[in-house]
Amino acid sequence: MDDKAQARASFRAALPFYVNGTLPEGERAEVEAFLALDAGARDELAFAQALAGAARQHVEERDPMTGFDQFQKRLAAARAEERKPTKRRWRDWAASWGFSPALGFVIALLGLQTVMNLGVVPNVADGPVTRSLATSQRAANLKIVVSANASMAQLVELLQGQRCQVVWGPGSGGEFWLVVDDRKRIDAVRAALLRSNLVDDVLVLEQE
Amino acid sequence: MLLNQIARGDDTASARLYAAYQPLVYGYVRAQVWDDLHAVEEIVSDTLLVAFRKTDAYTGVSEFSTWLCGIARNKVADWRRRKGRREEVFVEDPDAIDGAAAPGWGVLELIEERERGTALVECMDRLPDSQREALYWSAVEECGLDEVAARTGVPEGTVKSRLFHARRRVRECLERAFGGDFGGERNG
Repeated sequence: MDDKAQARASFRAALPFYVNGTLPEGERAEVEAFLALDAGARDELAFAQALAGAARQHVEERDPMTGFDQFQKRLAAARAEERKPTKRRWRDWAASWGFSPALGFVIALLGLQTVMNLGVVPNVADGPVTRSLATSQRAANLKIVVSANASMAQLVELLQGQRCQVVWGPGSGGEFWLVVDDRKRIDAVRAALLRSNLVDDVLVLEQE
Repeated sequence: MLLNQIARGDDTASARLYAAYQPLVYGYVRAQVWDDLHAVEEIVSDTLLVAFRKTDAYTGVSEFSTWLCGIARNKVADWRRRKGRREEVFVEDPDAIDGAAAPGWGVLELIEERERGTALVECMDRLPDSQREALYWSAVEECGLDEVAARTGVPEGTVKSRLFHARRRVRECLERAFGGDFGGERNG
């Protein structure tokens, strides 16, 4: 590129900023010097000025408050949405997915169950399980298996003697679940029961 | 600060900030979405709604107007995606401002004065988005070169190139429309 072409390229690069008045003073002087020498540059300046004028027209004059009323309603609705109670938000959320709140709740429960089954929520069955019994059996300290020839009267006498109380039983195999009056005596009671010929087996149950 | 007042739900503060920035956002969006005025209104409203609801997202690193235009740019991109429109890819060469003399700059003389504005606008509407955006910041917002570069996120050389090519494209568009015959480009 020769000097003239180089000067014209610089002029073209600077022209939009000469037109909008932001060009630094030194560069402004260079542009004006080039304009003074080149008629084509003056045509290009006139074109750039017309283009800038059209661009400003293109973006029409706008009332600063145009659309504010509608905008304010949208903003208020958005804020109200953020302030909704959880229950209300839940109902609206369910409705937005096309569910009734009840159906949504059932689906959420099923989802929770699935998560639990997947092991994301620790399963209680994975813990230190001692037994799987009815609530009343959970209080038991001992489980005994009564021998087949023991009578109920003999058994009652034995258990009363050891200050034990039957909380559940008999099971299908002749099991009884017992609570001992003092936990410190559990081992002693177990030993005493094992010595009796009315009892085939005694199991100490762990407490939760 | 107005933003804190808006976050607390102050309607007066909302109105003041809206009045201060709504025309700017409108102008910015209008310069990019030129053929669907309904979409322009919608994008402007969406942009301001995001800004007013997430005031704490403005960190103050950039100017507030730049932050707003960033949101607006994303909204325009979303709108284009929904409409299945693609932004025209225009690969700029920062050194592509040639120094050849071109007689065609007198093309406006071929057009009646009352038609010039409309003709220029119609040709501007055919520009790639990147060129129209550069034109918007320089001609409408009257930003300096460094500011246009900062607002559009490109080097200053690219801004100069975009503005020159925008000018040349509009000129060529007018030549085609009004039958100008200036004998093509010549080295000067």
